[in-house]
Order: sequence, then structure tokens, then C-alpha cells
Amino acid sequence: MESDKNLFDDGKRQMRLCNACRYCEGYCAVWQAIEWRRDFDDHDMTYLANLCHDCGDCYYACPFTTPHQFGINPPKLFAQLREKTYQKYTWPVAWGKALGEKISGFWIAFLLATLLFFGFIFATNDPASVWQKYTGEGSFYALIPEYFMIGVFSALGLWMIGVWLIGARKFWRDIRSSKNEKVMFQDIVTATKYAMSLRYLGGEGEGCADTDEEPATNRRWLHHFVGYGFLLTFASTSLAAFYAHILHIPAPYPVFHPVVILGTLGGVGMIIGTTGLLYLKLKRDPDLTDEKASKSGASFIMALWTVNVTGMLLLIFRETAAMNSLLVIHLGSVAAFFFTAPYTKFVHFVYRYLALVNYANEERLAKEEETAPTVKNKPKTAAHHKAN
Amino acid sequence: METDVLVVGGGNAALCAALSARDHGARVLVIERAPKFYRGGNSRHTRDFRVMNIKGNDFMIGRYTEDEFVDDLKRVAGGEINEDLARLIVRESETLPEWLGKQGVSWQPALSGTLHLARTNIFQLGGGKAMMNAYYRTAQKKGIEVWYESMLEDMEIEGNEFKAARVRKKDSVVTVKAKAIIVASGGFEANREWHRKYWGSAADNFIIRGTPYNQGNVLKLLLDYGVARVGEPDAFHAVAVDGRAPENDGGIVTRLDSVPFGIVVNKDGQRFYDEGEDFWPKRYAIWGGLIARQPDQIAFSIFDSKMIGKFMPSVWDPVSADTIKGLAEQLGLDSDAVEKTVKEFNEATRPGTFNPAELDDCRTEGLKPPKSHWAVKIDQPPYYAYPLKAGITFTYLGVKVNEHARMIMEDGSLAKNMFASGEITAGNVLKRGYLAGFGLTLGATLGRIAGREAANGIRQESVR
Repeated sequence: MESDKNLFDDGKRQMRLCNACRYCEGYCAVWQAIEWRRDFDDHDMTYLANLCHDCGDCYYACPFTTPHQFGINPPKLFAQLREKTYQKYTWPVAWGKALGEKISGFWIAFLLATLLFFGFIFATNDPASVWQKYTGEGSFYALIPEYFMIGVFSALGLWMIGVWLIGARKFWRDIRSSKNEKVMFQDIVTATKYAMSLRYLGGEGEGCADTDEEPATNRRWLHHFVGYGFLLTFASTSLAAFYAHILHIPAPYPVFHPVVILGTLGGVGMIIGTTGLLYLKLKRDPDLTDEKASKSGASFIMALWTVNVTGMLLLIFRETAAMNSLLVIHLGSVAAFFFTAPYTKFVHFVYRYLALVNYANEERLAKEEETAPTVKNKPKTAAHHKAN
Repeated sequence: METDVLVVGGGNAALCAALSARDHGARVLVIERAPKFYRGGNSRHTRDFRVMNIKGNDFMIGRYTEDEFVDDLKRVAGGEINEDLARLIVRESETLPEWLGKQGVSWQPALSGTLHLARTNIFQLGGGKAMMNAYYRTAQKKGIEVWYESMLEDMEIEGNEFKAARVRKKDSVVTVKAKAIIVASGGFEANREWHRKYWGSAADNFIIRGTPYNQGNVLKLLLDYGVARVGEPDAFHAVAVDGRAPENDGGIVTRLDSVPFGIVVNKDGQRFYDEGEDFWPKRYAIWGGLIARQPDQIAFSIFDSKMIGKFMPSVWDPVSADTIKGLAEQLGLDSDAVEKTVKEFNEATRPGTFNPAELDDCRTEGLKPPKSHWAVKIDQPPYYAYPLKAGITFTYLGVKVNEHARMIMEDGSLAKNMFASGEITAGNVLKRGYLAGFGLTLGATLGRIAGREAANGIRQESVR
């Protein structure tokens, strides 16, 4: 597409300019990565865009942003390129636009899934039973049998992971297209450390430019709430499966049960995190955001928020007659979330993690080269900054 | 409008002066000629401070002593420095990293790009604009008032005492009464009219590397009011930049590294200086002046495809052609002259081992001017060229100050409440040459002194 070509070309122009300056090199991985390059191709641009954690520090440090004629704006450029990544590498490509771009994709999936669950209940039970109160062991499965739930969500889970893997494979092939060096286990360890600590969401300990140029760490810790919250709910679900199928103790579990504690901590964490992130998104300087990217980001956060809020409501009201309806709504939201996951901003962790692995690999090789006794013909030219 | 200390200018020196005066209890108003986006003058384009470093810190490697620092200054200035003032600045520089850190500036650990200066210089995290943002944030927190798009139009001076300033603030004119004034408004490097006085129409072909707002209007006012002058009026620091650089404010990215990898011809297709005299970082600063003295103030760096990839390319694509003739035509040069120059150069090259990492043995013989190193035949098409122009960094003309940053009048007397810092005072220490990172160091140290002296002077006055 013409507009894509323009975007990539302008990106290359910007990176060449940045590479002639390099004042940002202390901020994050992106600015180290450009120093290992002399020219930039489309794959480099895709890699750099996904390596960027969108902290905004470079934008405020740059004397060449608009109104300067150079018009440099890496956060916006990378946000636009990431949108392209999410659409280009998913499968089927056409679904990416339909389901990932706007929140309406999730709402429609949510509505349909909820209706299907209700339909299933009405088809398999006496309609009046929906409004009955069920408590105690196995109450979650009173109207929807356990095997049905396991079947539906396993299929959706496999679908989500499957499409992620397809995207990951395509993306990895592209960003590694000019590389011969092997990725080693230690690169994966390094990348995992970077990812788990969100090292680059916050300018090397300085903090992000969350809402304006003032460095802050709010986005980092809010993201930790979401990320680790997600992992806690995942742990809760896995533990629940263990209790149900190995120990044969069916859900629901009491409030102080490890499954419920993990799930509650995770759910509350994600509600705090997503609410905070949405708030910061609203307050963010529009100069360095891309409207489309901002929208798709916000819709993913909204979807996650919805899943967690319905989950918490279910926990609170599970002893009442509303339980069945809430269960259906929550299941509908989870199903919609899984189904749209390969197309929403959720995929960012897949590509960003792979970009970090690629970066860790490049970083290790650069360090090895620096300390190597023989001088190789390396692409990195000697120091180029002006010292004023 | 009334304040204690009026700071004129909005860069590193001005903000250090303002913060220091505020820390010493004064009310402070900063007037910055530029709009908010362009605030900070040439400090926006800076990268590092040169500081004496004995105790060591987290951001530098090794030790840099007072004597070594002073010797470096003497070396670049050809021995002609004000040693007392230089020593004072060097000693004061030792505490700068910590003091500036307290004023909000963040530092960058020594990375590969900055390693070769990590012993002598400390680098701002994110560079000059990030530093300026930090200064202004701190200034706001400390209650310093800042007016943007505000310029000093005139001053009321009685004897050696500053009384009030006439400030054009956007569309209105405001009289600002202050108990002291600190001027840190830079030189006149962006004022073409002023350059024309010395350079004639050649001035129209200069590139201004930094802020377009350094017009020298305050410098002119001060000299007109009888403040003593330092520095040669027509002297400036200029480097070779890509000829396609914007007229103003292109900053660091307009730099060109190709010169040692080929030859440089002027508009007549003639070489005019040894392109391989020394490593480029040691020579780029003389090339600005060299080009400024060529016809139409333009030159062309020509190299062949063997050299592609050996240096960082310019931000702008090189002109290229399959023949030297074609290249010359594209550049608008006399192709016969360029062909002849290249031919003579090629014939004069002596065999050697090309190595950009050292002063290698590839040189010319019997050629005038010679190329002393990295002289390799230009014979592998396609051929490439970058246009070069003179990019002015700063001017040396300024006002005389003493070790308290207090201005000295033409009659030798001291100004009562007038101080200066930054580029406008640079000529007090260095009359020529430049030492990487010294500009910011001078601005910050003298600024800190000026702020303190101005504030303390006011306090003593009120006690009396």
C-alpha cells in the first residue's frame, strides 16, 4: 500500500537522522539497536517499532520534533508501525482489521458469546432454572456442564495460542532475515529479564514521560499490575484445574482457597492496572500518540477490564440468584477476549518479547565484538557525537 | 514589574544563574527570547560537560586533574588563555555533576558512543534538550518566573548600575525593575547582518548550526553602554556541514564524516587543503573556516564506491554518477577541471595499506596541497559527492567579566549589579579554539557564581 510505503520510508529517514545524533542512546534498547546499523530496511523498522515500549522519553529530549522541519517523532512513528505489525503478521489478515482495530470487535464478540451461552442454557435446561439460586459444590456447572466449558475454552485457548504462534513465526523470520548468528539460551534469559522487569518502559530508571515530559514511573507499575495480575489469574486457573481434575474437588472454592485468593489478587490487580492505564492514556500528550494505535490500545485495555470486572462481580454475587447470569456474562467476556486476542493489542507481548530476544542477541554479539582481541570489520563506526 | 534578579537568556548558563540566585534567596525572572519549544538556545544541541574529576563518579571513567584540564585549554587556545579565570572554572567544575544533579539534570553512564570522552566529560541523559527540560521543571518548582518570547530591548543604566530593563513580551512592552541583572544570552552567530560587516555577501552562505535566536542584541546593547569587550569581533567557531543542512538549527545531524575518505574540491574544481592531515574529529573544526574562505563558500567531498560503508553516511543522500564527468555535471562544476583534479590526485597517490583507524601510509607525493593519509585512488564507480558548507557554532565576541562573573566596564571599573555568563563571556577564557564540553562547563560554573553573587549583593544592600 502506498501509505505503508510512505510510513516505512519516513521511518527510515527518521532513523538515519537519529543515528547521526545518538543523544538518546542512554534511554532504551532502540537507540542501542540503531547504533548497530548503518541502513534500515522494512524489517529493521518493524523490529525497532516493537522494541519500543512507548515511554516517550526520546520525544521530549529531541530538539527536532515538529515544529522543527526535521519532524522527528519516534513514539508516534513506532506506534503506527506496531499497528501495521499487529495486522500484517496475524492470521487471517483480514480479521485483524475487523476485530482488533476498534473496541466494537470485542463488544460484538462478547455479545454473541453471551447470547450463545444463554442459548445453550435455554436449549438444555428449563428456562426457569436460569433464575434459580445454586450454591455449593458444582454450582457453576449446574446449567452448563463442565465438559462443555472445558471443551469451549480449550478450543478458544488453542485458537489464541495457535494464531499467536503463526504471527510469531512470520515476525521472527522477518526480523531475523539478515541474521546468521544463532540465538543462544542466555539471550532468551536476558530478554525474559528485560520483559519481566519492563526495563525499557521507563528510560533506564528515570521513568517514562507518562503524560508530559516529567519522568514518572506510573505506567510501569500499572503495567506490572496488569501483567502480573494476568499471570496470577492464569496461575489461579491452572491451580483450579489441578484441584478439579487431579484432586477431584470441583469449583467453586471457598473465599480463602488458594484458587480464589490468586484469582482475586490477579483480578483486582488487573482492574487497578487497566483503570490507571486508561486514565493515563486519556491524559497523554496527543503529539506523540497515533490516534489509531491509541484506540486499539484502549479497546484492548477496556476488554481486559470488562473480563476482570465481570469476574469480580461473579465472585461477589456467586451466592445469589444472579450467579447464573453473571457466570454466563463472564464466560461470554472471556470467550470474546480469547477469540479476539490474536487481533487486539494483546499480541504486543508476543512481538515485543521476540524483539527483545533479537535485541539480547545483538547486544551480546556487540559486547563480544567490543571485547574481542581482533578488530573485525564491524558496522558500527567510531564515536560520532559532537561534544559541545 | 519588579524582581530581584533579572536573567536574560534561557540556556544552560541562564538557568544555572537563575537557579543559583533562587537558591540564595532572590526572586528571579527569566526572559527567554525564543518560544517555549525553542527555549534553551544552543544548549538544546549540547551533549556533555567537561569536568575535573578526582574522586570519581558513576558516570565517568578514570581521573582528570585540574592541571591536565588547564593544559588542555591552553593547548586548544594556542597558549592564550586567562589562566586565573580558567583555573577557577576548572576547580568549580568538579562539583558540577552533583550540583546539576540536584537541579534535576540526569547523567548517562559511559556507553560505546561516549567512551572516548568518558574520562574528561560527563554526558547528559538524553542530551541538551532533556537537560533544559529538567532545568525549567526545577525552576518552576522553585518559583522562578519564566517569560517566553520576551526580549530585552533596552536598559536603564546609571553609572555602573543597572536600574531597569525594557522587555518586549510578545506584543507588549514591559518595564522590569530589578536589583541585579545577569546576562546569559549567547553570541551573535545567528545574525547574518552582523556577519556581513566582516564577511560581506559570503555571510549569506553560512549555515547556522544552532538556535536562530542568538542575534546578539543584548551583546550589542551592553557594548554600547560601555561594558568592556573581549574576543575578536569577527571570530567564530565553524565546522564543515552537509551543504543541504537547513539554514538554522540543524544541530549535530548536519555533520559530515566523508572528508578523509576522498578529496574535497571547491567551486572551481580545485583542491585547497590536505584532507588527510589528521583524524576527522581533530580536523572538522578547521574545515568550517576553510570553506568560508572558498568562492561561494561551498566545497564538495568526492569519493568512490570503495569508501561506501567506511564512515557514517550523511542524513542526506550523496549525489552519485558512473563517471567523474557525470558527477561534476550534476554538481554544477566544470567537469574538465574536476576530471583533471581527480586524475592528478590519482597519479600522485603512493601505494600503502589503507586503514582509517590509524594515520596510515597512504599518501600523495608531489601534489599540492598533499593528502597525508588515507590517499587512495578514486577509480571505482559509481562516484559520490556531498556538498559542504561552513556551519557556524558560536562567536567569540563578548563582554569582560571578573572571577565573580561581574561585568567590567571599558574604564576598568566594576559594574555594580551586572553579571554575565555563558557564551557571551567565553572570550574571557578562550580567544580561539574549542575544547569539547567546555562551553557548558563555563556557562554552568560562571552562571552558578553569577547567581550567588547577584543574590548576595542584593542581601548585603538591603542590610545596609
